[in-house]
Amino acid sequence: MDADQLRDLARRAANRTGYRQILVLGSQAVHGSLPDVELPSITTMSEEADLAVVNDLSGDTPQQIEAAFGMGSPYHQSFGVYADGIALSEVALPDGWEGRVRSEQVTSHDDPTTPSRCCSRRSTTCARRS
Amino acid sequence: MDTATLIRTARTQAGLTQSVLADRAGTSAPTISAYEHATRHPRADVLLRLLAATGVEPVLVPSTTGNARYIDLYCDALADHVRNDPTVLEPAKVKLDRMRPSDNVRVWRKLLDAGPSAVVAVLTSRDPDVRGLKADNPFARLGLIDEDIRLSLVDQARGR
Repeated sequence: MDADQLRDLARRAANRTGYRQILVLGSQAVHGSLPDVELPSITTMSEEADLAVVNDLSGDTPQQIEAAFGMGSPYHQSFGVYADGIALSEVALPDGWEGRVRSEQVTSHDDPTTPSRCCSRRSTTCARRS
Repeated sequence: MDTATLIRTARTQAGLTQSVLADRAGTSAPTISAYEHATRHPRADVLLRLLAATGVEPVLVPSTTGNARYIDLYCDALADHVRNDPTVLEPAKVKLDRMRPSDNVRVWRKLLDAGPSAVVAVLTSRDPDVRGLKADNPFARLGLIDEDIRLSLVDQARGR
């Protein structure tokens, strides 16, 4: 997945869930932490991005993200990449991560006047136990 | 992302050579090389030390998240499909040719050549080390699972 594919997923996740802040966890966070660096090809091999909604009040945004953009979804079939919906309550984030996160505005397809924030930073790189 | 890729990516992100990372983490460059080529696997405490030396703060995601359950359920459904219709391996090979080259893609090519039994064994595996391979399977792009069924698996994974 390249940076543009990640931005598209984050933008669509924001539109789908109705929330404006999407946190990128896992290996794809490298696109946010080093936006101006030409990354080695190994960093773009993964098809999946871990996306979490910040301040999710409903608790069902991971489900919404997977339904719309998860493995096997029409989005995955069309674009070759997919999103894993992650609940922030399921992960252990470093203390003070909010202050170190790097954010980027991505414009909505549906409403270009209402940008969403796509947040990521190397410090949020996710080490999955699995 | 597997452990080897994680270490290599974290090191290159930090702009470190294997020798510098080895010095910082109290190990040797050949050991780092072995980790990055997956010929050796670091213990968890060593992995955390290596990542800390690159400036990465790991975020731990338990393997029992709703998402992990969804991938297991979805791959189980794909395995059923392969059992019932082994000819689906042919379009999967075509899809695989269009995927970015990677270690997982190479493994899938061998699995597809080995036949449906090998494919089903991987798709139904609950081994955490196999989850990354399952996540890159070529069948998910084929639209084999009806969307209604897929959405029910999403709900089931989240306990709804």
